[in-house]
Amino acid sequence: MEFLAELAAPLLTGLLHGSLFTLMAVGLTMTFSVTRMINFAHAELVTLGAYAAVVAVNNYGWSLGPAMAAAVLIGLAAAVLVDELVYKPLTAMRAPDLYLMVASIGVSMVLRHIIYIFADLNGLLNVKARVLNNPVMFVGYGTVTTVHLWAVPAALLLALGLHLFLTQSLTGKVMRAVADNVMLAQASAAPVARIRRLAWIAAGSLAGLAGAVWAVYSPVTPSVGWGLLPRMFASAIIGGLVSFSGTFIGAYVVGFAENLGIFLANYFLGTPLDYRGIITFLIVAVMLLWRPAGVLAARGGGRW
Amino acid sequence: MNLTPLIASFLVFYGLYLILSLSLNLEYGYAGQPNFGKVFFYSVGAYTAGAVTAHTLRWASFGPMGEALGLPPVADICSAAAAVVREQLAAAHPGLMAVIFLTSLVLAALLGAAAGYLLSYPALRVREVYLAMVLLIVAEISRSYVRANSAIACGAHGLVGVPNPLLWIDDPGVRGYAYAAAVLAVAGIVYVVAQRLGNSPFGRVLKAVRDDELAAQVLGKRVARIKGQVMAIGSGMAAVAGVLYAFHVQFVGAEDFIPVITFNVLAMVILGGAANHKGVALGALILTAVDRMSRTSFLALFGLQPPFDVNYLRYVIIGALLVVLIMFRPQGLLPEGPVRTPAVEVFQRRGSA
Repeated sequence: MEFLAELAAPLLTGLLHGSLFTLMAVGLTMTFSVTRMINFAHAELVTLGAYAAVVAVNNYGWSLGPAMAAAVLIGLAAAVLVDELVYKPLTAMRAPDLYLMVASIGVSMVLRHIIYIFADLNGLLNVKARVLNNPVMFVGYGTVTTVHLWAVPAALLLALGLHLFLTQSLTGKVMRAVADNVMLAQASAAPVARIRRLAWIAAGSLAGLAGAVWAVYSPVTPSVGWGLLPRMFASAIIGGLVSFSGTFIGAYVVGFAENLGIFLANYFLGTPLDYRGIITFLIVAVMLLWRPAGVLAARGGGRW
Repeated sequence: MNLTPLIASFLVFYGLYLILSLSLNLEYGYAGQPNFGKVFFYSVGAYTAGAVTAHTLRWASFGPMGEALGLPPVADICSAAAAVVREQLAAAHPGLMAVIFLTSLVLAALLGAAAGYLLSYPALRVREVYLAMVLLIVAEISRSYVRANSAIACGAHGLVGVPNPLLWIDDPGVRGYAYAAAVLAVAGIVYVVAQRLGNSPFGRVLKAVRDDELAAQVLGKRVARIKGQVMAIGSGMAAVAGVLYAFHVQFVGAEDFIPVITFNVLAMVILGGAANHKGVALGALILTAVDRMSRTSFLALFGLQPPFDVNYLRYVIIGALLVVLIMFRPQGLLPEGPVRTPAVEVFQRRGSA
């Protein structure tokens, strides 16, 4: 019984992290499907959302609702702005994939360190949004908090909504067509530029929202997003960076692997808890080498 | 105002960055292999230097060398007492330190080359963007692992006290310049090797692999082996730079080897001009200057005290430079030129005559 009581804590954290990784990684998958680029700066969209929420709540005394809306808007604006200024012109020049990736690394460095300078000037290098994260229920050694109560349903709703959007709405179907083959979609008069814009808007808002929730749940630094990027990337690569259901599953795999997995390894094998981060990196390395198209691709199809 | 340490340290770092960027230029500029795990191979050299130094001097502390100086034998190489013993031994025994230094260089070059050869395997399986990601991830796995494990470089604290091999020179100014000269000499050798390789038939095969892998294969070039060879050469060079770095800062710790170091080196290659060693030497010079000048200690010389940590500003500059270069001048300051073979030179002379 002692074991089960101890098990509750990593189980609950894994569930919460999986939900938050879903919100973060779906944007990475969406922008990769439409633009074929791995956007390193996605990490900083999360950080921007986190800092927007922190500043709105702590410095301006906003309540949580408007603060979250601000985080979504900041994430959205940054995503669209970066696309307009950097990625779109580069795509128009037919730059190779690697150039786009290097550009996104540059954008990520610029954004991250501007946030660092801003945080350093305002004494915000390590802060938490001053919102109470109340314990609702105790399960063994684990605690269910208010963040659990909205993050988990939010991730499930997002998954359901995305599924309906991609399979039922015309815009969703066009987005899948663009993701599948841009040339063909263009030839069929698909509004590629609008779909692209839509992907960046969705990715930016979700990343901003996820960052805001993260700031309520735990203290943040200007590299919070950069630190979480391997988790987002691991989640997305399990779906081959193109499958939303794969990303959804991947996010929970990563969330549970990093919490439940390391707990079990520590409990039974005595693996040091410091190896937590290595699990995620190994998932990425193995997926990239073994099945870069995603686990679901093995069954031939089932891309969404 | 004593500028000696600043100048010496600038020269050392120019040498280090020159080696790193030349090695990345062979891999990425010539052969098209985006080795975004450069910092991993750099760290292999530093860990090698730390381990060779710490274990040899620990052994020495038990023998007559330690007794002669009245030093206690070192039990734990990670302790602060061990660092003091190492420094005293190093100051008293120039010959031993020279052996340690040269052994570290050779061993690191071999280990780095072996690691590079093994990690060329992903290059056979995945396309270049994914290869870049895999190597980046490998560097991060190794950093997490070394940080969590005290056996390699004393875990999260790092190995303090890796004495400079020239510690027996009493005047710190002379010592600084002497070490800088040694680093620049190694960098000069690496430059000549890289230049000769680049202009050799091997260099032309590298470019063929970069431009069209399939065509190179059809012409009978063994692409897999060539990728392995260039990764081995580049990684061996990076590991040599790691040794020189460890003996300069006299410290080895996993937290020094973060991905932005790779990106900094990448910016040097792209700024100077991929597949042009002269350009890369220029790019490394410009960005080493940016690197050394965006330091609190440097700005303090001019009475400047920015209200925030200036290290952040450096990364903003490097990041912005990467974006601007990729968008407006991906070929760099000095673009790739024609391959200079003896035959080309004969033809050019005839053409002008």
